[in-house]
Amino acid sequence: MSTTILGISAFYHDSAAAIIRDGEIIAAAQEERFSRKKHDPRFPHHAINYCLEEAFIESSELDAVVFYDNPLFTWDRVLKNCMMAGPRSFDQFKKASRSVLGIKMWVKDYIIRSIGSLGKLDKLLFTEHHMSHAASAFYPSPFQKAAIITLDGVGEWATTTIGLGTDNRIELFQEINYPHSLGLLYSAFTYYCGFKVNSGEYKLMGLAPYGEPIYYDAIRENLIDIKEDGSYNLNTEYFGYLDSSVMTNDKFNNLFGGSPRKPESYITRREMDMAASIQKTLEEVILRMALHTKKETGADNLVMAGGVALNCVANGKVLKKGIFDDFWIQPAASDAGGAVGAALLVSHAYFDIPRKINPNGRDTQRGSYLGPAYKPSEVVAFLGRKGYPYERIANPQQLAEKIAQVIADGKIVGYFAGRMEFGPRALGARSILGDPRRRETQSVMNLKIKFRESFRPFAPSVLAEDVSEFFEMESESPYMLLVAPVRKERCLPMNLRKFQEGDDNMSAVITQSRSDIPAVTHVDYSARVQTVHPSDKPDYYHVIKKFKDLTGYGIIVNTSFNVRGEPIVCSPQDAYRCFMRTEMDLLVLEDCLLWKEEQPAFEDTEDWRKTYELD
Amino acid sequence: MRQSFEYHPVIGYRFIPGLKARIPHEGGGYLIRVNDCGFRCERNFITEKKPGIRRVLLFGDSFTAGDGVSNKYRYGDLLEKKIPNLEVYNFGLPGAGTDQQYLAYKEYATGIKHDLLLIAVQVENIRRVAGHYRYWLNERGEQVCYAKPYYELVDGTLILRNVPPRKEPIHEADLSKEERKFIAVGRFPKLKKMVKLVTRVGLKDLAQKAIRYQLAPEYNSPDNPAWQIMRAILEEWINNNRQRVLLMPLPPYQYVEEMGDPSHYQARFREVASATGCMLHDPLPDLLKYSLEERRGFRFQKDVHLTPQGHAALATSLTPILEKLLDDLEQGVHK
Amino acid sequence: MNSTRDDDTLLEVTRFFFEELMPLAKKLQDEGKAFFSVKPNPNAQTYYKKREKTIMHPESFEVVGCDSFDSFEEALIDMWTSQGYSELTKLAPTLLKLAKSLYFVEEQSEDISPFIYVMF
Ligand SMILES: [Fe+2]
Repeated sequence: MSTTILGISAFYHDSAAAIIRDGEIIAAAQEERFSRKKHDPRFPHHAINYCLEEAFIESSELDAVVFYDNPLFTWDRVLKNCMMAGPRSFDQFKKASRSVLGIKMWVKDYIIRSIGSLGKLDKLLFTEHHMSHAASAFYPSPFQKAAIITLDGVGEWATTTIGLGTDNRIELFQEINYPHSLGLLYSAFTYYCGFKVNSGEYKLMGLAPYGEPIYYDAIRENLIDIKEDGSYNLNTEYFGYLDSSVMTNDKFNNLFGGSPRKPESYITRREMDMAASIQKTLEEVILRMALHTKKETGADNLVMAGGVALNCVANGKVLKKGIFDDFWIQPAASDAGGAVGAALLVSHAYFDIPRKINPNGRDTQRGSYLGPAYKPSEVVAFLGRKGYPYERIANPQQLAEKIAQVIADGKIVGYFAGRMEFGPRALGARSILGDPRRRETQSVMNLKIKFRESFRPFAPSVLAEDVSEFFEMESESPYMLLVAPVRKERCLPMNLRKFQEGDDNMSAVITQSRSDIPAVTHVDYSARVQTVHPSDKPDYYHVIKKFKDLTGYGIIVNTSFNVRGEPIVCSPQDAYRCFMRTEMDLLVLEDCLLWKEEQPAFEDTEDWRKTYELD
Repeated sequence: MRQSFEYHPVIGYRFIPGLKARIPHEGGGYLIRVNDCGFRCERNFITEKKPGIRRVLLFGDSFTAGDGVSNKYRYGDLLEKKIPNLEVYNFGLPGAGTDQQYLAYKEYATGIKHDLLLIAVQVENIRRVAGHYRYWLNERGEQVCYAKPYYELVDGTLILRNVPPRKEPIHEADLSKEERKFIAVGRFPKLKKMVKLVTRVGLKDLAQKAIRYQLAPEYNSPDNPAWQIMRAILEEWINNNRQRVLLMPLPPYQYVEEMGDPSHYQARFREVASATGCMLHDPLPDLLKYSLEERRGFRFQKDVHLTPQGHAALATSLTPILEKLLDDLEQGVHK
Repeated sequence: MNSTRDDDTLLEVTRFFFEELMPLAKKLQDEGKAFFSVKPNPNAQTYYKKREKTIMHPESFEVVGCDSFDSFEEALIDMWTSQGYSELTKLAPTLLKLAKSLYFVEEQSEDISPFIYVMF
């Protein structure tokens, strides 16, 4: 008899569902992919439906259903926060009482209405928010024993926890609680620099290399006190999140000389310097915390989760310092991953299922390809019904060769193959691919396909065995969670004189070739690397391999298959729509190839620039 | 939600072969598994039959395909559990008229060895038989109209039209006024009126007062043109099949909940049975033995398809008939 | 939810906040009680707190209070009593009332007519 657990995370940010059978991750997906509403926080009806579909199980046959945090404790925090913040927090109270007291508390009723059953237990289980994060980091990791750090905005009360995982047991022994939160601190800077909280953190990180950390001292002296052991407290006088719906207040603004940057306005030197300063602060906390955790646990390895763990620049530094022999980060580190964590925790801590460690030394996240796949028959059914012209290449080798040739010719390819990724990164299942050797690839992809700010670099997918040929790194980075320097001999000198003399225009920097793989080299000569292993994703591996045969480069540009503000595509229908709305040249839907110039005129019934709120 | 159907050049559409999907539904959602021929059947269709196995070919629409419930809860699948050594090949096709079901039979079933052909005609299917077009929803939830194959009766002969059906959706505006009448509605009319009445007087009262609507005037007379086509299709189908046929009219909930008078359609199906010599099983009397409250539980709240309880009741009604029939056939007591 | 109900609920929320929650908050503040620190403490050795519950036992997965309205009030009282904040327990009855007024389980939007099939 197998034990099947459904995990649900919802009502905060990026709702998701996951299903675990005998401790093995069967499926996981974010609601946004199905609802087509980015970071959809609503109850994940569709994601749950998909998980039950993948496991092919009746809801009544589930052994348990678990929610990823504890609404009662969340309510406790909301109430006490407002009591501390005083009458000015009324608006916040109004909102939170609606969402926590009116909705989240009664998640059980949502589940019953959605799938008709709570499974065999006939009661809903709950975990603790950071326990879910910890479980999502430790259980799928390749380690029998590992230190655990979780860092996010806030769960119920905790914002940071430290612990140890051994076999199927997770122990969290230290924590830092709200309102002291590294996640909220970083989000305050995200907001101040004119990016969206809970999604623009990535942009802030991408902006950091353009700036100098000139605000670092101001941050350390006024906003945060960091102890030797990496523990920290914030001075909440500078923040808005206790009593308002914005992250920063006048005191914060005055400290950094003015009001926050207006979203979509010109990015100035101040934002670049702010980004560099907060990045430096964050790295300092994380490095100290890692040292402390090493001392407390004596473990050789570290695992991490929580939204802050997605800061791959900081991760790269931790790895480089060699505090731990190795580390693993849950690719769906933010709350979506809590669905996986909660279900794993119930499997191991409630049902006492022994943990299975991957015998080949790799993790059990299955490349994070945990979402829906669409069979070629489904793709053909879609194309046939619509009458869209396509060419089918059933032989996988020929297919890979053809795609590689198209990329080498400088064309942009929408690549849709196999199970969709779980987590924020596209890893070659729902990706847009291009040639990293060409200088124009970055600007073409940014402006004609992604319709986004051009300062953001693209990530490379590189053959796992070739990674050190391009980057100063030896380890694997299958989830694009590590940043590494491009090898020195590949780098080209940049003329930064004008920029350094105060010309804020970043395009003068961006358009310069920084290496022989310019499309994936950031201004600081770094890259956010995805290593591709043949056993994780053979089809994608073969495309890159064939590209290498043609060009000598075992590396391609990989960016997520979406336009700006749109969730990554999920179905063949989504992919086709996105393909037709952008200037991609070729669409690969499983083994079907669709050329843009052969497609009939696309009748767009909606103005997608309005549909997708800018991220 | 996944796309579940693909274009078919004769039938109009079929399930995507090999599809596995879960459909969200007010009943909590259900799992569908499609075999390699494009039918929602747990078994792949094999021509030859293993010795000792009895095989039934089952045709029908969404009530037989099991909209709203997972494969294992459907009456066809329940029969397999109740009757020893039975294989049910389920050819149920949601949204299809008897005409398309017959076409599915001709496309996929004629060569398949079997002991019995079970044709489950949802009584409302007569509307679809009369239709040349039908509404569907596209991926954006908008209604689109597609052509369907249909039969015309010309001098007593069935003539197949609209094959292959047009692939592209049809704009209603492009149809002549005359043709527009042939967009199949699929459901009996007066439903709104009925719902209003039920709300006013309550379901029980309605049944007790025996206020009975003529739900399907198409069945009122043997001469009704829609019925004539339906009858011709059924007769051709039954007469062409070499094995024994069991015809089963499936009553929509209005009859099960005693809101309509079934006598007309019952009379029509009896006429077909006596003309062709096929067996007839009318499950309505068995269903009416349940309490009204239980019968209300045979369909979902909003969706009128059968719940697992509805399927179970139908299977219970069918089992003794089918079992006896199969046993008799085995012993050669027939025809 | 209709708008009259919305208005009534907002009234209830407002009344609770200003007439119950804030006066209690003020009282606690006057007594020098705080639920958390709002500023760093330069003299502290560390900001890490030792967790009381370090592992999840099977029983820790069961949260009383989110089950039904019946258990909600008592769950709040138990929680605050065990935390040593018995002053808060008197908020529980009104919070139960608020929860009942605010309760909202959205209808599923997929209300497709059962006889029109999806085909694309
Ligand atoms: Fe979190």
